[in-house]
Amino acid sequence: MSRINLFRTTVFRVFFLYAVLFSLLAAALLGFTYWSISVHIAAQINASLKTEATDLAYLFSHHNVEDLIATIGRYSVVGQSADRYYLLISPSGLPLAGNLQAWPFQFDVRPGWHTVRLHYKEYQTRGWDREQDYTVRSYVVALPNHYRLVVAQGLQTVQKLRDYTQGAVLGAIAMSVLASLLGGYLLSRAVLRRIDTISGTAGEIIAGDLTRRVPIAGRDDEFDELAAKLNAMLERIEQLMVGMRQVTDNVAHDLRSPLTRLRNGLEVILLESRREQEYRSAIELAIEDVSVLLKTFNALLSITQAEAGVRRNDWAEVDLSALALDMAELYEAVAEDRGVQFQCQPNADVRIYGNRHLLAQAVSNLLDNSMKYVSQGARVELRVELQQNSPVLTISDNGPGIPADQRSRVLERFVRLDSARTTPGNGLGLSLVRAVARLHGADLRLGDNAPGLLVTITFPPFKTPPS
Amino acid sequence: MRILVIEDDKEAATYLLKGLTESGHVVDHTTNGEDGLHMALTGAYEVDVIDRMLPRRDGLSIITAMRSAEIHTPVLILSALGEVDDRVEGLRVGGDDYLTKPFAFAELLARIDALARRSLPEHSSTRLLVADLELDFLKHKVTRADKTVHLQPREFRLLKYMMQHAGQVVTRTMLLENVWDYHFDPQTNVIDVHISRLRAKIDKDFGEPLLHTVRGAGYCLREPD
Repeated sequence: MSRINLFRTTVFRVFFLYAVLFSLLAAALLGFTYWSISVHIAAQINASLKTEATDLAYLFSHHNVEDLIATIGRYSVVGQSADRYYLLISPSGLPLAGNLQAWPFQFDVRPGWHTVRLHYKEYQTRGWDREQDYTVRSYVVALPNHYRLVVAQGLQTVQKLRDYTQGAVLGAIAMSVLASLLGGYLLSRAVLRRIDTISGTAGEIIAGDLTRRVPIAGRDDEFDELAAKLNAMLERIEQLMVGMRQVTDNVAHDLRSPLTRLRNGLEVILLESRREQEYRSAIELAIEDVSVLLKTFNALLSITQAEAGVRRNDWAEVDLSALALDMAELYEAVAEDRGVQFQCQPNADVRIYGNRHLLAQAVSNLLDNSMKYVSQGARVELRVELQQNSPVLTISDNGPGIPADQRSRVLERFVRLDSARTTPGNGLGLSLVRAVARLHGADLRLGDNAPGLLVTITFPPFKTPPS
Repeated sequence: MRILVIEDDKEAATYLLKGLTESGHVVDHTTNGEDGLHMALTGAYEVDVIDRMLPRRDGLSIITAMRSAEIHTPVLILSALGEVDDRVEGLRVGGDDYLTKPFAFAELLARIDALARRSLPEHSSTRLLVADLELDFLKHKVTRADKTVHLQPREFRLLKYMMQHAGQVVTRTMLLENVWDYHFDPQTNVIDVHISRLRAKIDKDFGEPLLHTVRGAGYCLREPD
């Protein structure tokens, strides 16, 4: 498993932060609800207390004390179950009617609103069955002749509601914090597992196994996309590595024989003392051998430069037709010498944007190949035309061609077909053609001319480059 | 001739100095750009050979400084293996020729000779003459021993270039550059075929051959000894 601490992962932190924010929001909402319910209930209690007190006071002033006592008696019976309390006190302070046993001592007797606690022992009434203190909201009215009336409402129900809401709010906060911790833990563990597989693969690759690939879970999610991209990148890197190894191997292999030959030749000359003319011709031979080696290196260098293709300040508009004609003119003499029928058919005015020297070298390499491998009396044709706006250059011959399964292989550096071993060449010609085509964003295809080879280079449509 | 070589690579410089001295030239050498510029500004040389990458001042800025000081010594720019072969930039700042390492010494020698010749005052004449071979570029006519030789336009340009550099070795890449106006290293003998056709026309039916192959280097058109 990972060495990364779960609680320090980004997923966990983000999840936790969101959970906390959500909990706070939920708490605020619940709190507001609680507060508005409380306010509303308090207002209703007040209104109902005041109405009753006013009614009773009215009764007192228009009738007599007896009527009031009787009414309060009735009210008390009905009010008992609704936690409603009444008390009428005489001017001397004696309770005359109501369901409270005594004038609450600590009661403020001034008229108006009061909220007090009644101790269950002192003020026990019927219905106060549990040993519990009662908080009541009361309204005191001063009646004529120093009578006083108290109408009160127990706040038990309201208190219960308040306690319940408070508990719910705290519970909700606690639950969302817990849920967020658990969710964050599970989520980050799931994400970490995916990341672990990726970093595990990376570790194995660093350790030297380039064939490893990141497993794809098949869920088609962002991790699968990342894994696919990484795998594609690894594929490319592996290809390049293999290619590079192959090039190095091939360079070593292909240059060893001419270097050995050169060395042997020089050693043989040194065996005996010879006439100056012999030395001279031996040295000239050696120089020619070295020139071939140098040519190979230069060709490799050209390919590398074309492949790198970073600087393009020597690029310009190139008249592909004119270039084809120039190359045709260059190779006409060779064709004639070899008894090859050579034709060049450039459609006028086909332009591309590129490096004319590299393009010329590519065309020249292709013509070289055709001329080299066709037999006497064969045909070689060079065409330039526009196909759906795309400049296309084709070189076709009716020579031996390249077997279909070898066509991509011959584009690699130093690869030569076995049948070509006897002809001179370094196996770099087509590699350069490919590099130049790629540099120009062109598509290079080797096809079958039935019989012979058909090389097609399709360039992107010409656009005037931004100056 | 007097040649200035500005090259910081010790081995390359030793090899250039030895080769050029043995070819009969007088060579001055320095390894850094500052000294190189001072020496080049004296204008005492017929050809300057300047490496692109130099300590203290790069090759291209030396050429820029020379040209703005009205020093028109022909310059051959060398660029090292692996650098981007940026001929265009080199020639734009006022270089006259460009050679990428690794190169054959014969190639360098041929190019230096060609540059020195270019710096000579132009002949006002419209005719070139080598032994009994005559080329008239106004009339577009070539004769050898007073017999007209019929040449294709490209053969005419090829011969003209060879005659302008008569007595000097010209390499295959120099011909491709100057006669065909393409700069690349031809993989096969494509230039040789053109030379042998030209040779068939100007040398075959006449006594002494003028167009010679220089092994490992290129060709030379010269008067018979």
